[in-house]
Amino acid sequence: MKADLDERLRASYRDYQGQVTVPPAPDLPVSRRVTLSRRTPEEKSGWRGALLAACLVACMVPLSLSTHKEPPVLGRMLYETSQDQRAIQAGSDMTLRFIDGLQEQFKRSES
Amino acid sequence: MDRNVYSVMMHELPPTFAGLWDTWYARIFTYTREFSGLCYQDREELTQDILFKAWTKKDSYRPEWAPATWIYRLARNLCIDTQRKVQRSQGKQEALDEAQGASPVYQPENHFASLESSREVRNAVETLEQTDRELLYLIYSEEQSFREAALILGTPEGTLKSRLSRARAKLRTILEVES
Repeated sequence: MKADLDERLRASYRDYQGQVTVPPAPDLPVSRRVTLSRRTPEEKSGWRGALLAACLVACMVPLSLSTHKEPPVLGRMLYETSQDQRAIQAGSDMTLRFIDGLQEQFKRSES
Repeated sequence: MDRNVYSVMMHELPPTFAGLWDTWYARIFTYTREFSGLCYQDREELTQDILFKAWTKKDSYRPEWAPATWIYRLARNLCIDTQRKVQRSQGKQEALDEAQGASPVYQPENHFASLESSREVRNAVETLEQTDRELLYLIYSEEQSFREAALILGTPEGTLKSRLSRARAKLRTILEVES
C-alpha cells in the first residue's frame, strides 16, 4: 500500500502537470524602477538635457510675469547668459543637483 | 539525460526568460494549486508574476542552492501574498479552482482511468491542510529532499517528517475507504 500510495501521488501530480498548457512566454514588462542611475552616461545626459530644456520652457511664463519682460527679451537674456561659461556651469550644476535630489525622493517613496 | 541539460536543470537558471518560462511554467502553475482560494485565472496571473519576479531577481540567486529551492521560496512568498489579497477582497471564499469544475484541466468524464485515479488522489489531498499539500507537492512532484523542503517552507526537517507521516496516514485512510 505504501508504494501504491506514493506512486499514485506521483502519478496525480504528473497527470496534472502534463495537462497544463504552457502559454508562449510574454514580453518582459518594462520595469517602472529603471531610474536615471541605471542608464548609460549618454542616456543620462540626454535625459538631463531634455529635462533642462523642459525646465527652461516651464520657467519662461512665471519668469516673464515676475520680471515684466516679454518672452523674446527673456530669451535674449537667457541666450546671453548661456554664452557665459561660468554662469551656465553653475546653473547646470544646480539643475543636476536638483534632478539627483528628485531621484532620491522618488527612490525613497517607491521603497 | 545529456549532462549539460541536467546541469542547467539542476544547478543553473536558464539563461533566457523564454527558457525560464518553458522550464518552470507548468511546475509553478501546479504548485499554486496548493493555495486555497485562488481561482484558475488568479493562478495563471500569479505564475506569470512569479516567473517575472524570478527573472528580475535572478542576480540574487545563490548557486549553493538548487534552482528549485530558490524559485519555490520566491513562489511561496508571492503565493501567500496573493492569497491574502484575494481573501481580503473576497472575504472567506471557497476555492473556485477545479474542484468546482472551473478548470479546463480536470474534466474527469473525458479522461482515462488513470486520470480518474489521479482525481481521487487529488480529492483526498485537498482534505489536507495547505502546508501538508505543499509538502506533498515538493516531496512527490518535485522530489525535493526534506532539507530542501525545510528551506522552502521555513519549517524544521523533523516537523516536516512527522507532518508527512500524518498526511500519508490520512490519505491512506481516505483512499482505502473510497476504494
